[in-house]
Amino acid sequence: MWRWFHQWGSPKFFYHRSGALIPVLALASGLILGAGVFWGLLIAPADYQQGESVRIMYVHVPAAILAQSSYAMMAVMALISLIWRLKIADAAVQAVAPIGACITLLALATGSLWGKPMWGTYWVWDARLTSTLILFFLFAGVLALRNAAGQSQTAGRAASVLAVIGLINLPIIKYSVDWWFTLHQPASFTLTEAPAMPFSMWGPLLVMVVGFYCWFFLTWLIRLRHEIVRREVRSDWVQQMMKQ
Amino acid sequence: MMLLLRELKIMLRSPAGAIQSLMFAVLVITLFPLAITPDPDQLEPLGIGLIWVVMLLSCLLAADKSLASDYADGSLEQMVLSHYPLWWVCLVKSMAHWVSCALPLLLMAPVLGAMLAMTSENIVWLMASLVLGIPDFKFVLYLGRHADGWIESKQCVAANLDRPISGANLDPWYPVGDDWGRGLLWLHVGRLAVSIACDLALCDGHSRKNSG
Repeated sequence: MWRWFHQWGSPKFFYHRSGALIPVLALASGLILGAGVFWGLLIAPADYQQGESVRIMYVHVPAAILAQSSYAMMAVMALISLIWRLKIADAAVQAVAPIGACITLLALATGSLWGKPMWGTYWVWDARLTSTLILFFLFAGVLALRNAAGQSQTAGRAASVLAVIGLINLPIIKYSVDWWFTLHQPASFTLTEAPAMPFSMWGPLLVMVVGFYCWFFLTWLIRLRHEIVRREVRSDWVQQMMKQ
Repeated sequence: MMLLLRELKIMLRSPAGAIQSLMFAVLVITLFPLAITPDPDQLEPLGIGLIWVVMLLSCLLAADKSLASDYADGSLEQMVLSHYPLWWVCLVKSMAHWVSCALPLLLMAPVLGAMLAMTSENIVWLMASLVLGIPDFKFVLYLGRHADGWIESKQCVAANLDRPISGANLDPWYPVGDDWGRGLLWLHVGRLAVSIACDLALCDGHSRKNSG
């Protein structure tokens, strides 16, 4: 176990081994997202109350789930880099922050587009929406801290500390629909119970969620590999690779 | 033309300044519903004034950057000494600054308005007043900066304060659609006055340049 941890923690090992994953992830995310979009937008039935606008769900829900789990991942990486000073974990934090910010923005934007026909307004300051907006600010804050002082270690550490502290926002987002009175409906999708909607609707939703995850890991891996090369550009193995 | 391209290129290479002022605007607007009330009925009348003030502050945040680095590395001096007339340099620099700072803020304004529960009709009026009003910020700022005086930006805030006042003066009028026009007219008059003042300052700068 520890051997595995140390091996994958080495930038060189990680760079050489992770290259093989990229075509697999690219193929998987292309196929799964394509299938999900096709199933969700063309085949799945329209809702009897919401009509066609229910299809926004097939982007909104995966984006919202991914936004939160990418934050959790960023915070774990930040914690690892704070405790064990693992170089690759710090690079991973830097690679995941912009993707997470974009995904959170996507979740907010699709949510407000969905809110207009359903609630009659693009935006309300209720708990779920506000806490998701704060999630976006946290991503943006990590990004800003990283860029503020260039590549210095202090900037990385400050960003990591912010990422770890911001972790407290995740349970707030999760339980906001139960704790406060809110317009946002409670989760319609849990791991433990069978969903309340018919299979013809949760099927494509599940496919989209899996597709979003594949796409996320693909972009994250590409960014992380770039970041590793950029940081290790003076080391022997990168120099050798450049010569070839 | 080359100058405009140069300014835009600088802006594209480091978009951090524009993003920073944009994020600042969004963050400040977010604080108000959290601090006052999330109730749309109470937020709605505050919207226009809040957005005007936030726009002013964000513009100031970015404005310092557009001149400070040029001043530091001496390229601003080169521009002033170049064979282009000074008003042209000012105009191009303000245009570039408008594209890099005001345009994102303007595009953000309807989103902020929607977040403050403004009706879409009022958002249209807000946009109109901002389109007319924001160049004033720039002109006043550049007035302070370019007239060889190098006024500190704090003084520019003071000089700028009349803008949000006349901008937010639209506030009591806005339920009556017609009176919006009057407010916009005043803004326009204000802008003309500011640009005349700008011209005078530039003439002054010119004469100093020629004599010195």
